[in-house]
Amino acid sequence: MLVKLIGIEIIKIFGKKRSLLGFLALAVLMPLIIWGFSKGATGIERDLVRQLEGSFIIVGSVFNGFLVTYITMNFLWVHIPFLIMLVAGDVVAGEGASGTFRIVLTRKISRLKVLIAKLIATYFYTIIFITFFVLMSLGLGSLWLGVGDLVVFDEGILILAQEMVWGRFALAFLFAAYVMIVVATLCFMFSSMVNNGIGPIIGAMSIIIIGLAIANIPIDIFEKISPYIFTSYFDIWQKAFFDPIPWGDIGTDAIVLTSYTLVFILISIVQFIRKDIST
Amino acid sequence: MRQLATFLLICTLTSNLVAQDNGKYSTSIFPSADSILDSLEQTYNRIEDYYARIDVSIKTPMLRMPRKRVDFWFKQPNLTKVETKGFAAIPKSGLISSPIDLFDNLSNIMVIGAEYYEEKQVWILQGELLPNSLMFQNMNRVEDSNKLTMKMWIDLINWSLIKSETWMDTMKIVEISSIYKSFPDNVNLPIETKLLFNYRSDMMPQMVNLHSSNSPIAKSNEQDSTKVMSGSITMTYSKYKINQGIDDVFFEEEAK
Repeated sequence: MLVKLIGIEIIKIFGKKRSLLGFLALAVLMPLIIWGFSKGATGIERDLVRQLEGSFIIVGSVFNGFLVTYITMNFLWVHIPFLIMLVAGDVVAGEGASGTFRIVLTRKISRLKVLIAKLIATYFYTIIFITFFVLMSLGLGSLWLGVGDLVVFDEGILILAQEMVWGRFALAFLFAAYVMIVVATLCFMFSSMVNNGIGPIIGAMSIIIIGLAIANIPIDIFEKISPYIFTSYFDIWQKAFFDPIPWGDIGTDAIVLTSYTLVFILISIVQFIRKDIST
Repeated sequence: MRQLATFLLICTLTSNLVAQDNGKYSTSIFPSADSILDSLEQTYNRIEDYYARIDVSIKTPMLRMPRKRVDFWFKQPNLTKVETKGFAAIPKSGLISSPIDLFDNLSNIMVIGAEYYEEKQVWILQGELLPNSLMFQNMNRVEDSNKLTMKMWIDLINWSLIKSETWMDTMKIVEISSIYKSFPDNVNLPIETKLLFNYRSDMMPQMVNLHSSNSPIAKSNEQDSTKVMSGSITMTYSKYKINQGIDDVFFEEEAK
């Protein structure tokens, strides 16, 4: 029964135009970025050479699909959540606004099952969206610009050999997808509280902006609070490119993110089960 | 002949110790730095051109690169060509270079001793290193007030530089050591070169993150003058092809 419910929820999500907005945005943005890079990004290469040329002979080019994907991930990791929220914020609240809950909940299905089905469908959307991002960035980038060694910044310049980069990207996207699951759950929690799809998006986005500010502005008081805020762990995917991979740190980050996710889910369940469905 | 050489070396060592006891180095019993440079240059000039496959591994605070293979061609006087799959950085200071270039970066060079080093008879030379020399091009806070000296261990049989140490005041900041292999026509070339670094953190250049980040404020590198940062570079040379008569055109392709 739950599987059937999840299937229905997935159909509902992909049936809405707003769910396709994120895909459309990436389908336009990523080819544009890759095309731009293919026309030359001498600034990045010049900066790298300038930093090293005094002591080193530089051979070859750093330019390839891997670098473009890495730069894009650096650039988009606070924008992608917004595209996920467009769907996660509407998945419960949208139904409240359209008044279909009263019909759905008169059937012999528990509220918990309805909520869990919606949550899993939201996660499914998130994973599909990140997979699409992988295809449009890493897939298209490597086909268009080719592959090679990846130059990243980890306490200085780190050159990762091509052979190890695929694995690192797999890990990075896995971590990025997990962070987006946390974002989706946060927005889903707000969605379960209200009957308007806009509120959860604004609420979740505000929390993320405030959290990122606290995590990144180097003020003493913020630095003390920072370890307890989930946004401080949003850059977990970057650790996939460190050498050696800091598995201990990643484990700690994952525990914090999982704890927050479970709290968000619990609040959503309590809120939805107690909710007075009047619309 | 070997016994005679050993005897001469012992005499030299003894004389050196006596001279040090007197509180100064005696240069009279040692060859002059110029004559050592001449011998080094003669050996170096036996190499007209060469190709080598170099496996480079870099682990420094500034740059880290796991083992990377590069193809390297050289032709006198200073033509070079490097090829690799993808991207690579090769340290300039560890590459085989003209002894004249090395000595040009030094002043007040003198022979300060002789010893057995790794079963080789060596002359030890010392000179003052110019702050704007290759090794310090990217370094901060290397000032005129710092005394920069370089000690060199030169194999007096094969006339090759087997080790050098660079000191800033009392701190050894760079050590370069090489293991050589003999090739036909009295040519000696390194098969392994190791560079070890010890820099104060504030001497390191500030590295700029090349990838834009959405962090509102980028966290800057730590620049602590009390912290010493170490690093190493290893270059392993193989597949040498020496004096094959490489055409200049081959190097011009690189220049384009």
